[in-house]
Amino acid sequence: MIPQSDTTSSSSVEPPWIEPLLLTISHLTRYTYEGPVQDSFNEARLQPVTDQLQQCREFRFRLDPDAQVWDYPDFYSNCVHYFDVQNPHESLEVEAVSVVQTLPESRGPVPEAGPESLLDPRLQEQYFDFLHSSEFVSLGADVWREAVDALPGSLRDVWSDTVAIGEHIHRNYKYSPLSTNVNTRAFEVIKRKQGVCQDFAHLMLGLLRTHGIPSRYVSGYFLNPRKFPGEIEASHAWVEVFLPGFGWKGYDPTHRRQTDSRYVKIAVGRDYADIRPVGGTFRGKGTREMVVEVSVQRVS
Amino acid sequence: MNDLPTPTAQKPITERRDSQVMLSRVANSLYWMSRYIERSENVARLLDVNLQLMLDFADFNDQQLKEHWLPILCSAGDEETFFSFYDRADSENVTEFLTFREENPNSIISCLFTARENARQVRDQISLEMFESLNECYLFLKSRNAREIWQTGAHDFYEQIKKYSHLFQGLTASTFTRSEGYEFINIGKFLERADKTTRILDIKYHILLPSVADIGGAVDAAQWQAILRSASALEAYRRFHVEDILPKKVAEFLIFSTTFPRSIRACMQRLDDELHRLSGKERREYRSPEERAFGKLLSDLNFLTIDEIQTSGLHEFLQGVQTVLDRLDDHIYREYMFHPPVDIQAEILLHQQQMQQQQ
Repeated sequence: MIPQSDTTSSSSVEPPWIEPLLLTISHLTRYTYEGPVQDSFNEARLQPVTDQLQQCREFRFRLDPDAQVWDYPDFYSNCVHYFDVQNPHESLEVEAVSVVQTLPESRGPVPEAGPESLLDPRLQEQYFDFLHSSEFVSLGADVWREAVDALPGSLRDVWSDTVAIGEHIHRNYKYSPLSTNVNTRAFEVIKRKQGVCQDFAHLMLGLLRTHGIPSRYVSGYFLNPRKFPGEIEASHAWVEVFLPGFGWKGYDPTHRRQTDSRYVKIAVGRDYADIRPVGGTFRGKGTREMVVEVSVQRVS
Repeated sequence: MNDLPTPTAQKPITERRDSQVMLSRVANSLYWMSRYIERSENVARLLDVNLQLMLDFADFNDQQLKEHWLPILCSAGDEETFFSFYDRADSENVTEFLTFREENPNSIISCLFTARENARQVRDQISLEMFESLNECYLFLKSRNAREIWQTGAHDFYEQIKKYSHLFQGLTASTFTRSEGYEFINIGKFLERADKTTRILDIKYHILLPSVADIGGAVDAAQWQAILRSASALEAYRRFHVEDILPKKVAEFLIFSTTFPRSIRACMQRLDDELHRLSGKERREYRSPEERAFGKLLSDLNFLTIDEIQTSGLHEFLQGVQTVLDRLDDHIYREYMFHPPVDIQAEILLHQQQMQQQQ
């Protein structure tokens, strides 16, 4: 998803959308293998969550070849669909179609919260996992240097400092598809100064966590009405920070803004590795091609 | 700060289900953990009862001792292993072999060590209390204290073993979640219990009475009473048959009772329930040959009479039950636990599903 209107990137941030939206989302992943494969065991995290910002009205999950599907909540309460295809097959299609009603933020304004407000042990239990190194986000020297550049001085207010770090990323990093891949780590993004939303989210997590702001990776979708013709749609990623007295709040560094009613959340985790949309293993020769088709349509 | 935000994505507990995904390895460990504990309890009871019975026959010579103990070895199918370690089948050798011999896979100590090893492999799946009770039993058996207690008073020792089993089964019932794992634990327990009841009953087939005149005499009655006590069935039997302990009635009770929880029929009924719950099939639906044989036997138990069994032979009947249970065990293993080794010749490599970048 390409950030729109580079022309306005200089100063003003557009106000958040507060209009409730009814969205239809379809997300198709098609693997074509080099030959027959078997013993394919997979997990999909594709079902949008239901919370105070969105309601998942409908969810359909389709597989080809067909298989029995179980679902269970994972450690972060994301809905995981599990399935296995043991017989030989040459391709695998996983399609999730959902209808989601998004709602405007109802929790009121974000209260000011200094670093000391995070120390309450009752709060720490909720965010402890999201302060440390994880697979894609290692808190090394590179990340630390970048974090100091992004936010000189120490943490003053959790939300306004989050926004400052987001602005820093938007100012200094270029959105360019194909410059990175799915395995790119946060420190590589710093070296290259470019990437896509997944990279910006990982980078931002690194900077936030270095400053002691609990933050987690969000996988989801985003309504983008101003698409270029032929622009490929894919699933989107952003971050959520933990605000004492408020809860988790989303920020999208790719578009340098807080998330609003255009955003649909599927899953949260420490980084991409925790919540890849489709993951699994199989036996056979390997994958020839993977096609991902995502569409987010507004119903009303 | 007082209004703690609640995690938004979490569903209320009533709307959540346990994961229905379970590793075959875990199923295997839970099943054998449960079977071995049940087995150790039965062996302990059998030895305890028979040692007490010996008090009534203090004047037995070597031959008579052998005739008393050999059927017990035969019923467990361990007589060959026994004679590779001992020459004489006397009280001390047999009880030592069935209690402490680690080379005997069915000795109490082997059963409980293996049960504990299985529990250790699935420690994250069972409750702390379950593991600790089993571990305590393991430490007790490893201590020198165990043998000392056994030598000074075998009854106290076997009593302790039975209590460990009861404690463990009680803790399982009160602390283990009702999931697939619980079904495997129950299947192991009831399959083992049904099998052990057939073996306890079969002991009397092997016991040769000194003369025909002894049939129905005091020795015979004492032995049949011992059979009942070996299955913890004496009091339950007495509720049905107040006066006499008659061979036919004992056999009938241990095979057919629907209310006594150690009878073959009651165990098989529970086993049937658990198997259907596990496979999700309709009641009375059996797919594999092993399941059909099991279902047929369970039906037979609803229609057969003890007279018919005696006419065709009690020993043969009991052996038939053991075969059905054995094959059912094979079936459970193949269906739920066994994974065929991968054919390396076909160069089947494990791959990760390719990942999609979020853009």
